[in-house]
Amino acid sequence: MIEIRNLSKSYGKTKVLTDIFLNLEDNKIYGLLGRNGAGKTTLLNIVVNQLKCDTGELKYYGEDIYENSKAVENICLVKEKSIPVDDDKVKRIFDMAKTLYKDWDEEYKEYLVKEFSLNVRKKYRKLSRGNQTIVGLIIGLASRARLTIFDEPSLGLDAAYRYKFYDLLLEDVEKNPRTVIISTHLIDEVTNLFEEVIILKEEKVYLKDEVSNIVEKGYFLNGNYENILSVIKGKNIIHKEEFGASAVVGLFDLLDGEEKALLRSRNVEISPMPLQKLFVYLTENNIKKEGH
Amino acid sequence: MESLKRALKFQGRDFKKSVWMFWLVLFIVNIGSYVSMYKFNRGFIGIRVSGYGSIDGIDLTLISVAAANLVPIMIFFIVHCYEMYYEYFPVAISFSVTRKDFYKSAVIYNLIASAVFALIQGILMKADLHLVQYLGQNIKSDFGIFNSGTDSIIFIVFSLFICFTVFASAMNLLSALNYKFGYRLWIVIALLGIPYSARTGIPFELIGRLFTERIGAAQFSILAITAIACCVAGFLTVSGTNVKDRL
Repeated sequence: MIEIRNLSKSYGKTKVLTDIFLNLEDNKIYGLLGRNGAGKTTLLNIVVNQLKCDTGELKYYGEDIYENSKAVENICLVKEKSIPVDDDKVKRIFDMAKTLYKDWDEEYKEYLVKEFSLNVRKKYRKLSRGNQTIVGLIIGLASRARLTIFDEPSLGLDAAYRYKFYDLLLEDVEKNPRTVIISTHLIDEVTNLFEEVIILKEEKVYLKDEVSNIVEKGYFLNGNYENILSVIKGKNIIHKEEFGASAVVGLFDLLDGEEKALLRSRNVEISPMPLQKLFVYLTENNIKKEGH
Repeated sequence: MESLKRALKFQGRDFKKSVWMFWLVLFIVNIGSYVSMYKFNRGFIGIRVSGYGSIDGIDLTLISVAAANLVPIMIFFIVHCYEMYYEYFPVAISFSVTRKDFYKSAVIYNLIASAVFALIQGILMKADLHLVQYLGQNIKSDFGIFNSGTDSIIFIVFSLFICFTVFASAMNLLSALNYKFGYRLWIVIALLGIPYSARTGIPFELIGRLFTERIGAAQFSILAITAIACCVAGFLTVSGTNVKDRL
């Protein structure tokens, strides 16, 4: 669906994205992860035509996206920052969205307004941060755009509304298949939503893989450090906490049945590493291959 | 094409309302001026030009009520163009409209506004001719680009349309540049434009000539080229403009 080749973007002398290569498939939910300043928002803004990249190619079903209305009309970005309207009422903002999104579903919008108990007669700037986020979420969901992007969709939302949004999104994507990209810092909450995860680090795509493949490689090993090390020598250790002879080791690598059995026989506790922790350790700069 | 239609519908949302409101206020002011002239023979809002000598010891002063509409019309175009870039552009681009479609739509609305305003103002200029004379005043009918007393209404409307189009195109370019470059545009104008204009007087002379010379074939060509050049420069400006989170 989306093909990004060799894409780079700088702000003045500051490089934000360098040689980005990405392929996004149809009808998948992607998680776009990265530390603050990793270039997530810049990448998303380039995808939706709001920013121009310095170099590289960006295609939607083989057609250039930039200034191509056939491509752009199928993409909706819900930004973490407020919608650029000053004094308008929520009702009017929805009317604008209805005018501009070709696949807008008015009936579904009405349903979402009721679900989120949103007062559409209020002025947008007078809404709480959470309700401003809800306006964006409703636009994203009701736009029915083939590619819908949510940049920090949970900003200011309480837990109940966050989970309501995740449920609504899953329900809607099942009924109306489309590609969704979610950029968020609340990774654990949305791990079940993601089919694939893209991690940006140091201006580049550091990792892109299915969630199941990534989580499968993430382990916490808790036990005697020497015992752990003797089994996982040469594997990718992403975290280490030592307490005397004991240690908790974070591993990002595959462990076969034999290795797991060996570790257990040496009293090493093996537990899966949550995606959030995995992301934190992977994006820290102390990743190393033990024994290499 | 569908995308352009959506952009047109979006930008047209407030356009009709603002045009109606604008002309409603102007009509009220115009009618008030005629009433004031009829009742009190003074205190009207309009153009009063003295210095044409006197007849039987009475000063010959030329008057036009409708001509005074030209200043608010120019202000309308300035506000309309700035609103287009500072309010509509970020929303449209954020809601998946291409810059190209937005720009086409903005130019189409400038042409529509120029045509509608020229038609109304042309009719008012002709009506003014009769009303002012009926109220016993001397009408100012020669405005350089046309003469409301001798020219046909078609020529007056056409002349006004051309002038409004040129002015709207220039304002469109100015507001696009201002949105893109922000305060830096004014610094450049202050440091380079004003000293140059003061020294040579060329820009003012050109503007003066553009809007005061009667529209013949040569003048029409100059005005048309000016409008097209502004539109092309505006498009080049907009096509490379990113949406700003903060203005």
